[in-house]
Amino acid sequence: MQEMNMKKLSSVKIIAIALLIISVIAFGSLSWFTMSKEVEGSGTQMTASDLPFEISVESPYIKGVDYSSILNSHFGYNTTSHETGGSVEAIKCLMNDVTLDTENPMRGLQPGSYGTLTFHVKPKVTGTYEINFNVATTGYHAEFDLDNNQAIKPSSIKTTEVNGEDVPIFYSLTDYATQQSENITALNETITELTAKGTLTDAEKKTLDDARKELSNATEDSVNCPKAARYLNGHILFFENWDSTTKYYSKFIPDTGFERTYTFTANDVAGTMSDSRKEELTVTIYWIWPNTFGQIVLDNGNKNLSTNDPAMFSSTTTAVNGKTPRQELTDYISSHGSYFFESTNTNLNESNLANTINTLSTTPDNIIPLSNGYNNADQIIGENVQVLLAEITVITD
Amino acid sequence: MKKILSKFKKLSHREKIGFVIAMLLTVSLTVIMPVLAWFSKQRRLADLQYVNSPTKLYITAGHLEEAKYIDLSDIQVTASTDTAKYYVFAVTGTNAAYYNLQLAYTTNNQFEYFLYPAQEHEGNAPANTTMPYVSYTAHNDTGTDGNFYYTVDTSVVGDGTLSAAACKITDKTVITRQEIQSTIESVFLNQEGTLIKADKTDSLHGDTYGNDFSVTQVQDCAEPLYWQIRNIKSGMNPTTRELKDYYILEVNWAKTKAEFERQKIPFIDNGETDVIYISVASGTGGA
Repeated sequence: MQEMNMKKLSSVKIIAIALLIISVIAFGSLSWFTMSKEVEGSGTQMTASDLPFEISVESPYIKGVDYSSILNSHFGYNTTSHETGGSVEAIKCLMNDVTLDTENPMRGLQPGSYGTLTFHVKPKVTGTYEINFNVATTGYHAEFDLDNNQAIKPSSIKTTEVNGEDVPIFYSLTDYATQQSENITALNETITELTAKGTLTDAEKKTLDDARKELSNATEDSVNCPKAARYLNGHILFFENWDSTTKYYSKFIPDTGFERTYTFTANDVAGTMSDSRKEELTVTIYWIWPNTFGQIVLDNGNKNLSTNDPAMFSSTTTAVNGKTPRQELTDYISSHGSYFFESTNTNLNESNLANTINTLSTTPDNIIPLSNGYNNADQIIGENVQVLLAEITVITD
Repeated sequence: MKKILSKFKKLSHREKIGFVIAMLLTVSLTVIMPVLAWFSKQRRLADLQYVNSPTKLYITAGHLEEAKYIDLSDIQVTASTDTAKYYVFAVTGTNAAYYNLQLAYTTNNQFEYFLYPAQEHEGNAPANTTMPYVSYTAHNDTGTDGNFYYTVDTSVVGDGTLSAAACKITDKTVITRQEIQSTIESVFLNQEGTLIKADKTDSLHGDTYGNDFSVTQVQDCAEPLYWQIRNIKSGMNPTTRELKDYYILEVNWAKTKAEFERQKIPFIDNGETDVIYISVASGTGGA
């Protein structure tokens, strides 16, 4: 009899859980239905599971280190196809680092690197569409295996065997920080245990010493990895335009991405467009990891700006919609200080930052804390981020 | 809710199971659909790139003490029979597999400079007298007597091995610049053929003094010579990625005035002061 009661109780529980799931699902699908209605409303023939265009790249060739297999296995990107479509939704493009030289091709990104990301929009359905392009960077941490005192380089990243192949081990920055926090707990236990012991054998002394050293490393990593993830948002900058003559950037792309409106004609869809039209349908994103903060806020010729790291903007550039290209970026920096600076200087805190940047012409010395804070953040990125994933997401409603 | 429950209770076991399965299927269908739709509503592009590790490099005095303790004073050229004096300094830092070392110096005195990779010894002075040492008294280390000794390290520097014989300080068969050049890449930026130029026609004048002083305003001996040793493979610890590479700097005044003049290095017989800059920058290494 009691057994029967138990059974009843458990089925009631299942029901209760199922009902709960249903109510949660209901919310999710409702919002999805709204989305799909919007698509219908734009008057096209396509279904919700299709886009009116595809994306193609010239050739996802490799410059620098080949991480194609990781991009494929870890992140699900198709690294052999040059075009989306069919079941291929994500492809590899080239973060073309023009500062990489043939003399030392193994070099990776570092402050001062810059280049382009280029791809083509391939129209499939005629009509006018507003397309959103979003660019995001994510850092990954890796450990090095430097047995033979070899240089720190991609090939010395610690690996693990997957299906008979050596695959580099990457940690997401948050995962690594969490792992290190757990490490700290364990290390502290070891240290407490050994210190309580009093007299120690030589082996124990070594264990204690090693634990202390590891603790300081783990503590640093657990604090700095999340910081590095944050600073990446502000240190690798993306722009829609770059002037090849003046070398000035414009149209900064914030973390919300940028929009372009295209009207696809029948010729576009048939692929019989002119060369100039092809160019219109090509999107080039210019990226730069500025070496110094001065490149953002100072003009060429300023004594605080090295000629090796030229200015990204000029004060004399005409303003568009009331803002010069530099103002667009500095306004963004002022409201996103935590993406840019590692500093305890009060001039750089949330309430003072805008003023510090905007009064540089009258208080030129303020470039010092700005520059230092920016460099310190670079240092944290470099010490904790070994691999960078740059992703572009293309969406239309 | 109670009504639904009571209705459910009335169902047979079989019906109950069927009902639950049906519901779960509906639920999973609803879950799958929006997820699929979400993925297909966008296209993605990406690239993975390697990020270089930042290099930290410092010049320090012996026993990794602050650079302010590098003291090159007390060189008595005429008062002793010696023709050289030795000092220790270190290149230290993290994440530097290779580095370039530069000595930039003025030429008021007829000094030549030589560099030897060195090893640190703690406690008693090395017993082997055939291998002389440079001693350094630590300022902040209270251990033992605070004395450290540095002998020439005969192991590998750069890509070539410097032989023990060539490194001996006593017999003065020091490594000549040419020898270093043949083993690791070493260069005088001011070199032109066999001549090491420090005169004011040198194009490096502009790099040193900028446009503030014209060539006629600077005395010849104040035009520094730049000596660079490139891509020295560091002694970086593979685990900690820290390095501490000691060097012995020899200041030598054995060279004759005629020899200096032959090489077109100007110098003043009774010069008192010379400026020497030791700097280090990360090297590219062999990738």
